[in-house]
This record gives sequence, C-alpha cells and structure tokens, in this order.
Amino acid sequence: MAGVNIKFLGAAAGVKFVGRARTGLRHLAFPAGGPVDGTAQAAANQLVGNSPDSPTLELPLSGGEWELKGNGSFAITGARMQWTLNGECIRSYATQPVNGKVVLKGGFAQNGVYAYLAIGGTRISTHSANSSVSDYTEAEIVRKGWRSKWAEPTDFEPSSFAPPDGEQFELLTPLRAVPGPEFSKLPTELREAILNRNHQIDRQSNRQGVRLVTEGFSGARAHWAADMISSPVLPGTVQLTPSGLIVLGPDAQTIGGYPRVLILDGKELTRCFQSRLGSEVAFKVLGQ
Amino acid sequence: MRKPRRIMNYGSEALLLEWEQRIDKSLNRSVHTYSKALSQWPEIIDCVPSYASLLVVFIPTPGLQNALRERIYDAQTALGDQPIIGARHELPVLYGGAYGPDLAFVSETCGLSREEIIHKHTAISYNVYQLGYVPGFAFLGVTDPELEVPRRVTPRTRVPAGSVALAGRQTAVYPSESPGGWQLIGCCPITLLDLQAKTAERVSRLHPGDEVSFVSIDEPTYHRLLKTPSAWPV
Repeated sequence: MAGVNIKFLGAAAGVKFVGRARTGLRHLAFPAGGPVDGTAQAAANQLVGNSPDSPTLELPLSGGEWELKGNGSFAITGARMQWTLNGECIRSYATQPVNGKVVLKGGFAQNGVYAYLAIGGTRISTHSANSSVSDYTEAEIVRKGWRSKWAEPTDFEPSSFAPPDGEQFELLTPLRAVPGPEFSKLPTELREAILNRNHQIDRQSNRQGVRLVTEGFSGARAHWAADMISSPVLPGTVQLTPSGLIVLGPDAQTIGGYPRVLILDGKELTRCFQSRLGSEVAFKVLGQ
Repeated sequence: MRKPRRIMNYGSEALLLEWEQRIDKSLNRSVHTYSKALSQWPEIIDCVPSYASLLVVFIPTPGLQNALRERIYDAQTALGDQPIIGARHELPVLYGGAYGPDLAFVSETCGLSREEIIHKHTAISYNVYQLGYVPGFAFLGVTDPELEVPRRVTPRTRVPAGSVALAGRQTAVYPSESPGGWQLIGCCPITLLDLQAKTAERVSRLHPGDEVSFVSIDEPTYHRLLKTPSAWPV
C-alpha cells in the first residue's frame, strides 16, 4: 500500500499536529483551538488532495528536520522557511513527491511565523510516546522522535500555486478592527493611545495571544485596566490588561476579566498572528 | 426573568447580550435561560454564558447578524423563567500554610484572623455562576463582603490543582495546574475535573446553577482523601 511514514528529527520547538477548530464547547470553557492560519492550512491540504480542514503539522518560527519514507506526497505553506529535501531547495505552495527515504529540513522563518506541513492521505497510526494531546485544545504536541504513518489518497493530481503576497506576513497596513464592548468606556486619551501609537509584538506571544508592548503606555493602562466582572471573549478580541494589549488567539481562554477594546475578524487576526516578534502593529477602527 | 439591557455586534460572527453588569443570582439565571434557549437555534454554533452577559456565536452568513438580533428581540417575550435545578456539593478544604500561601495576605488585607476567614468562607453556600478560564473552573459567588480581596498584582505561573482561591467577591477551586492570579487560601483534595469523561458536559463536576459549600478539614484527612477521594461523597 502506498503511504508515507514521517518522523520528527528535531531542531524545532512548539510543533503541533492541529485539526479543525472545535465548536459548541466554549460554554464548558474549552477554547476552539484549530490552526492559527486556516487559509495556509487549507492550501497545504489542497495541494496533497486532503479535505481543507484535515489535520496538519503546525510549525512556529522554524521548520525543523523530518524524515519521510515511502511513496506519497507532502506540501508546505505559510511562513517561508527555506526548505530543502535531501539538501536541495524546494518551494513551498507546491505538491512535493516522496519516493523512498528523504530528509526534509526547514530553516528559521524569513517571513511569517507559522508554516503548515500536510501529508497526503489519511493518518493511520502514531507512536504516542513522543506526543501528547493538550488537555484543552486537543492539538497534539509533537516532540523529537514523534512518528506517524499516512495512507496515500487515490485520485490525486499534484499542483502548485503562487504563495500569498508580502502583506500577508508583514503588516504593511494597520490591522482593521471594530470597537469592542468596552471601547467607548475608555478615557479619550487611552483610546487615542491605542489607535495612534504603534505597538510591538512581544516575545511572550504564542497561540493563546499576541502580546503587544507600547512605549509610554504603562501609566494610562495600569490605571484603567481595572477588573470588570468576567465576560465572554472570542479569538480576535484585543484586551487591555495591566501588562498591555493582548490579541487573543485560538487557544485563549473563553472568559476574561479585562476590557475588550477592539475585535479583529478572521483575516486580520491571521495577519496579526503571522507577524513576527518585534513587528510594529497599528490599529485602524473601521467606520472612523 | 430579566431581559438583556442591550444586544450588540461582537465582531461579525457573534452577538453579545448584556444585562446589568453585576454578580446577581437571578440575573445570572436569566443569562442561562437565554443560553439554553438560543443554543437550540440551528444557526447558533455556541452560546457562552457568563455572570451577566451571553455571547452568541453563529454560522457566518451574510445578513444573519442583523436578522438574529431581531429574532432575539422578538423571542424575549416567549422565554419564560426556566428553573435551574442544580446539584449541591460540599467540598473539603485544608486551609492555610503551604496549602493556602495567601491566607496571611487575605488576613492582613481584610483585617480578619485566620479563623475568621475560614469561618466566613465556610459559613455560606455559593452559586456556580459560570464555567470559564479552563475546563472545570467554576466561578462561585458571592463571598462575604468582608472577604473581598483584589487579585494578585503578578499572577503565579503555576497554581497547584485543587487550590481554593478568592478574588473580588468570587471564590473558586482551580481544577488543574495552571497559571492564576487569585489569592490562594487552601486546597481541596477532591478532583473536580475528569478529562476522560465520556462527554464534554461531564468533564466538569460543577455546573452553572449548582450550589457549593466548603468544610474545613485537617491535614491527615486531606491526605486520606487525596488517596481515597471516594471516601468523601461530593
């Protein structure tokens, strides 16, 4: 039977095997999870003949090293990580064949944060000693030595397409947002500071949230980020906390006690999360 | 039953229903009444109830946000009070020392002795208002006004599972190890989280509408219950 065995050789951290976001469980405090960049994940799946929301590997900041054996295909999308196959450069956003045993290596992200590695077919087994399912998001955490086996799909045509343009990962324009429930309650100077200053993406950012640092912000926000009674939040909510602004992501908690000042919808949220550490972030409120 | 004071857009894929922003049992009951009713509508993906607001997440469809808002307004008169019959739980707690590292802070902040804090915390039963933060985390309230304390300025990166905590007029038991910013006053040896449960609804032992009270135990009892939790019927 055609198929691919894949093994994670290491040289990357925070790798997860991510399926589609769960729905209908937020009232039980389960975050939806799912991929940070659903568009990139769907593209990787399309290139290997999988359904758009089939689980794939999600690789933050660096691609790592992988051994693939068998007969099948894979594809890589999302952040650009200078991939090589047995030492030869390969392009992302293209179906790549696997014939025999190959070593796939991805470097540090040159552009963007999250890349997606899809294997064609259906996963049929996993060596569980080197993985664990996150209790609350069901994204499988992948560690060095992780192995898994795929059966190749039938009726599949290799393809390729142009990767998204630079704006996808470089925040050349402000993030478009709508006001959150507490936006109008903020003092004017705080609203203006949020909208008129540039914020930088902090190293503490992860799937739970992109944390922003704003110079000269501490006095105003510390005073105002008073507790409010806990209220529901969704990914894309921009909260004002005593430590600064945070853009909530797919693994963020479902209830929060900090003012919800802005809300980003899907595409803008992806742009934010695909922007690298240190990137400058500005917000533009739609309709203003 | 109380109707929400306003229904607003929350981004383009959700609506937020808000009541008066306070912790109030009958108001919260209205939130859960709406949640139960609206979660049956076919276009609704999720309803997330909290103390005094309800987030309604729907299938992204052009025009649906406005249409749903109108339907919710129209449906309000048809929604009657739904009695929420919750379970009663009595949870054992070992207070203070290494099990409640913030008890001294609470004592100093509230001007109460350790014994007075324990007495006030165990004297009343608490309503489960909402689940949030992490699965199994139930927000309980309201505490005695003399026990009101702020959250920690710097949250802990690691709060042990079972920690009993205070923040504002709320109390809770951390169901699993997690970061946390509430003041820790004790520890409960009974597990409130079952991640192997057959359904997601059964993962949390506590549910909105349940009533919870606390009982002070000594250290030998705490360790005995850690080994044999079934010895304490919850």
